[in-house]
Amino acid sequence: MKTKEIIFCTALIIISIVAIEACETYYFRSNYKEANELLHDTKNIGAKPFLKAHFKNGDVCILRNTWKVDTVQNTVSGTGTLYDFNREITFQGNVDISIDSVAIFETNKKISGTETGRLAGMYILAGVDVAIGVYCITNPKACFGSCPTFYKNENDNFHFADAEGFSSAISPSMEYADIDALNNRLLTDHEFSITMKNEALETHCVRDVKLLAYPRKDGERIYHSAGDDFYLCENIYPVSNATGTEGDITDLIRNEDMLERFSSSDENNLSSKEEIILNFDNAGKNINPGLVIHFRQTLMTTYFIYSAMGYMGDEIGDFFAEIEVSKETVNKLNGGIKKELGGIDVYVWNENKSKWYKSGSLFETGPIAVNKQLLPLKNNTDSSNIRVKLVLNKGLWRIDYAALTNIKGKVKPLEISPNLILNKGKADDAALALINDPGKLLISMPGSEYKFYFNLHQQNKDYELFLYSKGYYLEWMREQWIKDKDLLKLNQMIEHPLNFLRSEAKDYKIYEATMEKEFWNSKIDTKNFSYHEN
Amino acid sequence: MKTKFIVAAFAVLLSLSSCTYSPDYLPESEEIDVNQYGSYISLYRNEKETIWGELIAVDSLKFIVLSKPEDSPVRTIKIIPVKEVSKYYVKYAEGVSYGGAVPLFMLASLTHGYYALISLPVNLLLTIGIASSGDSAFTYDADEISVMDLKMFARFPQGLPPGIEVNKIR
Repeated sequence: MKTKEIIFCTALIIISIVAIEACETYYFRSNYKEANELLHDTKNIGAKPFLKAHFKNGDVCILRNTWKVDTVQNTVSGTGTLYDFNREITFQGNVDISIDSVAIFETNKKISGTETGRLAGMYILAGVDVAIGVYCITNPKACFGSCPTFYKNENDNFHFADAEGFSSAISPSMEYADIDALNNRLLTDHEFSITMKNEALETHCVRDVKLLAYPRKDGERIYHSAGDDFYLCENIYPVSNATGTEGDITDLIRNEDMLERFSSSDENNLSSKEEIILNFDNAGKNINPGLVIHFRQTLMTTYFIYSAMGYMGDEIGDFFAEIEVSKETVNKLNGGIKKELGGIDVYVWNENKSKWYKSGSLFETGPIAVNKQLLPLKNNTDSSNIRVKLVLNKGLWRIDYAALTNIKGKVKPLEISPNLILNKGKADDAALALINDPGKLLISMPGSEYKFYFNLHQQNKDYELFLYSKGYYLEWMREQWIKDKDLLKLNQMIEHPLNFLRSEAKDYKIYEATMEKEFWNSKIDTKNFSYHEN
Repeated sequence: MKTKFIVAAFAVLLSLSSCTYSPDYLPESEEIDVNQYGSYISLYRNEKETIWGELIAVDSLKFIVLSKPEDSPVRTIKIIPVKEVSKYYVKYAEGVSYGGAVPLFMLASLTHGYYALISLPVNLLLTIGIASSGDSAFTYDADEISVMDLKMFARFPQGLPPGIEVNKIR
């Protein structure tokens, strides 16, 4: 069952229990003016209740359950406490009360089990909370995010992130700039804002956040490529037919609907590759084709980052210090697992030579925001049917959409720096000064939210927008990871990535089965990510 | 958005804490049979004024209520005509306080990562619900108990005894 459903079912059960108990009314008190009536009502009770005798003068006597009525003497006797009308104790011990002096006798039944439902509710809630807590502590990759997330709508959560910045920059020396297409709708206002959130246990060091904008006309789109080039394009040619190892996947690939195609990893080798074939029929002979593709990673790379940190254990500080001073270590990190896993390699079928030709490769780290990129295709055939092959690592990529477009040419977008930053709704001039100074960093801590405002120069002009973010982040070491210290594994991961990917395959498979399902099934609802409607 | 939700949750908590007030003279639920005082009553008079305190006596014409120092800054005894009372509720035992669970479960949500988006509001709502239900467990309102049956929960269920001056009641 999905975690979200478990939480809601629990909530429902507890609400029901508490509601039933909240509606319960206890009737436990009886008053008797006549001693005979009292005797009659209490004679069959196994354990006699305490008895309160309210005297005509306002005093009260509370008799323990040893009391008895003497109908001959017309008295009630027993051990008890006598109070005056202001309820001060006047006597304690054995008392004989004349029934004639009593106005009312009062009995009370014991109320029991009043807290059972509430305690049950609390225990169930605590059980579920602890279970989720344990799950998240033992599988932090499934519950905690990474890198700054950006939202056009500040109220969205990470499932609807529009961009995630510099996901691979896990230390200062690995700092880099990242560009993400914002897939924005038609702009009518000269002002644009985007909110940056830190939703993870990390320190985000942000050097720059800019908007890249290029004016577009009706029917035009500008796409960003893996090489950080920008292409002005027109027309969209949807995929006619798409097949993966599992069969027909056309419905998953054809629309920008967040119904993604992904596969699970190979249980024997995490670097196993697979192929997807895309057919574009009647795309046209005279187009300069570019493949538009919306993709993101699964949680596989996040798993490796967290695993590596776990293997470092209490020596993590030493390792990160080494990364800072040794280019060789950085090269090893970049050339190790990352290289073995690879990107999404794109090939075009040459009909004349009956051969696949590689057009390029797409790569972007991060499992949260969907990357929308373009890869110019090297199409050397004169056929109007274009056939594309994607070669990708099994279990590493999620693909939402693929289509062809006609590239009109390369363009250079405008760079727009923020003119205002809001921090918790208030203008933060210090943050603005830091972001606009390339030598300084804006530090964003867990829970921080900064809203950046940009002036688009010309009102009523439509722009295609891209987000440029530069910086790095420091993952917080978690206590529970320290026990995972394994320097041999770390060494294997860095020095012999292929062996590591084979040896780790079975462990990852277990993790993948639960984490991927839990993580993505917690999606709140399908939201339309379409360019036209976002 | 999140801040508003938390503020709203605390506002609910605050309002619950005020309506579920338990004075010292109220017994715990296990001791209702040995408590010498009347129950706590809150009366709404003419939809304008709220009077609360220990229920001293009640009959078909009037309520007699003693506001003690723990109820009100000034000890007062008030006689309120029944016809002027639009609503009332009576509390005969102290509820169990689960208020501490609210911040505790909020903190627990911090360990839930992304799932805190769901678990935090669920935890807040449920713990507030449980705390509220616990605090108000031992009460009756006008729909559950008639004015005449309220007598049983007065200090003097037989009515104000003759010879006792109301101003001398403490």
